[in-house]
Formats: sequence, structure tokens, C-alpha cells
Amino acid sequence: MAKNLIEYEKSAEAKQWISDESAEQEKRYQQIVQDMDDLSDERDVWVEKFFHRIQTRGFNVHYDNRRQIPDDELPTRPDRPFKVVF
Amino acid sequence: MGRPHIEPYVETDVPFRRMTLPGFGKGMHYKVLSLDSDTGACSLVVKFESGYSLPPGMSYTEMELYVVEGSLQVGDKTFETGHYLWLPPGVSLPALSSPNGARCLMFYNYGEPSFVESDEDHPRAERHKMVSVNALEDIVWGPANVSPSVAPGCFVKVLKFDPLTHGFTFMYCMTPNFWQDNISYHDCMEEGYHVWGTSWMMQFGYLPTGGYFWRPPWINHGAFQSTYGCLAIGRTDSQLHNYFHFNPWTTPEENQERAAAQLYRQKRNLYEWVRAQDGHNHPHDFEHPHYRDHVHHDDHD
Repeated sequence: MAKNLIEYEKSAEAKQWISDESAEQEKRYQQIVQDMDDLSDERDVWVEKFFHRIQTRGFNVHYDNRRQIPDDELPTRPDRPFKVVF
Repeated sequence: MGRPHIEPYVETDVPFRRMTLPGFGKGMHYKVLSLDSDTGACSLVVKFESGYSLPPGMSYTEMELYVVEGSLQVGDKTFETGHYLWLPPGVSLPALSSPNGARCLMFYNYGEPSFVESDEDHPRAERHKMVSVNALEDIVWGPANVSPSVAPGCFVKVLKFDPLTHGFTFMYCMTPNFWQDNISYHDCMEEGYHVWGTSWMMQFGYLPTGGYFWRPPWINHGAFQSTYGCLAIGRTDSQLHNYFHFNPWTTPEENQERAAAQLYRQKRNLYEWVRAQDGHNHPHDFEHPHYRDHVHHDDHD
């Protein structure tokens, strides 16, 4: 038994509450996925700017240590959807 | 299924619901930020109406509370804005009231919100572990004590630290014009709520006041930026390690494999011992032989 929980029997109200809130959360999740899909074009621009910054100002390796990333180290975009929510 | 990846979620325009779970009485309203659909464990924004009161009582699950706005009277103590409480399960909290109203974050970590009226601790309660501190006034900001580290300008206050898992609850802030040009992921869950201010991440865009995320392990986030700064509360369920890189298109599976490769390089002896094929090298902690009990309720199902 976990130390962070004292075993108990869930009430019918609690089970219903969890079920109702889980259904609401699923809607929120789907909305987030949609919102993040809608952001795709803007995100692509952000990625290009990120690549420019890590090639000029530098990539943050640790705290204030930076390294300028050469062209041949930049990743190429794979042939699959760019997902950010999983 | 546990909690899904909720990121980003901004709760400010979402209406409150009246709390109807047994024991909480009238005058408590909530919004769910995230919820474990198996256990009911959840993170909530809670509004206590002026005049709300609750008798002494306990929760079956550990509970964390942070006062975002207003104040609470708890026994003879006043929890002002910025107060943080970690209440182990079964510890009886004195009578709680909110004479002028309050808005709080409440985290029920291993089960749905529960309240059992009692002015005595449960026999299994570990009162000595309770944390009660004003996060804004009683703790100083320090640099994030991890390597590799976040960039200069991100500061941390540790509110609660689990010595077994190294999971912790913390305040963090970004100073104005903060930049961190890398992509990060972790091998732990990470959760955050913006008490004030806006930050930006390359995957999710702008996260304003009232913005929230619950992020499972291995998920890319960053680069990071904040124009005017922000103040937030964060949590992890185990040690936070920053795996930095600059490939925005990697998947959680690829990130996980890369983390294992790093483990092989950085803790090779331990890695080789644990992965032995003869099946005898199971972790065992001589100080905590039942160490799994301290980690997750889910592990025992």
C-alpha cells in the first residue's frame, strides 16, 4: 500500500464524479489537439527562427554555456506529421 | 489511463463548478486542470466563497495547497497569498475558513478529493512530514540546482522535496527577457501553473497567467522565452533531469531511447548491472526495503 494514500472504498458519488470529469477532460484534450494543429504554420516559422538563433547566438548546452550549431548538424524534417501533443 | 498530456490549457475563462463531493459543504467551487481517470487524482483551481468553512478533517490522499489569491484561516494560523501546504494523508487539518474568499490550487495526488471530518490524525498519518510555508515570503530564490541547467534568469524555490523519489514541488520564475535556446524533455512527469505572467515555448506558443500544463515524460518542450517574466508553481513525480537537444521533430519514443543511451554513457556500471540477463539484479534498498510503497499507488494495482 502506498504511503501517500490511506486505503478506502470509493463512494458512488466519487466514481460518478471521476467519470463525469474524465469525459470533460477528454473534450478539453481534443480541443488542445485541435488548437495545436491550428498553430502549425506559426510553429514552423518559430522553428526556423530557433535554428537561426542556435547557429548565431548559440544553443544552450548548460546554464550560460552556448554552442553555435554548424549547418551539417541541423536536423532535417522527417516525413511524418509534426505532433506536439501526445 | 492515468492523466493525458494537457498542454497548454488556460483556465481563466472557464467557469467554476460547485463542489459536490461528500464532506466539502457549500461555498467551494472548482475547475479541473488535469485528472487521472483511474484513481481520481487531480489538480484543481478552487474558489472558496467568502464565509466558507470546513470543520477539522483529513484526506485519504496526500494533498497540496497553494493560495493564489486571498487568504484562509486554518486553526489559529492565517494562510496568506503564496502560502503552500503539503498535507500527508490522514493528517487532521484544523477547522478551515475563508472570511473574505480565496482562490487556491489544490493537488490531490493519489485519489479524488476526499474529506473526512475528524479532529484526530488517522493511525497511519505521518504528521512530521507536513510542510506549511509561505512560498513568497519565507524562501529565497535560487538557481535551479540541476545539471545540465536551465539558462540564467530562471530561478527556483523548492517547497517540498521527496528524498526517496527526488520528486519535488517548486515555485519558478523567469526574469524579463528570459531566453533559453534548447529543446528539453524529462524522464519524469512535469506540471506547471502560471500564477502570473506569460512565457513562450516553441511547441505550444504563449502561456499566460492561469496557463497550465500536465506533461508526461519524454515530450519535447522549448525553446523558452519570456518578455516580461513570469511566476509559476511546478511539480514533478521523480528526479528532474534536463535532456537538452535541438531537434524539434523527435518523438517521445526516440527521446526515451536517447535517454537510455545517455544513461548507458553516464551511469554505465549501474546500467549494466540492472540490465543483467540472469534476472537476479533487482533493485533493493537496504534502508527502504519496501521502497516501491513510497512511489506510486498505481504501481501496486
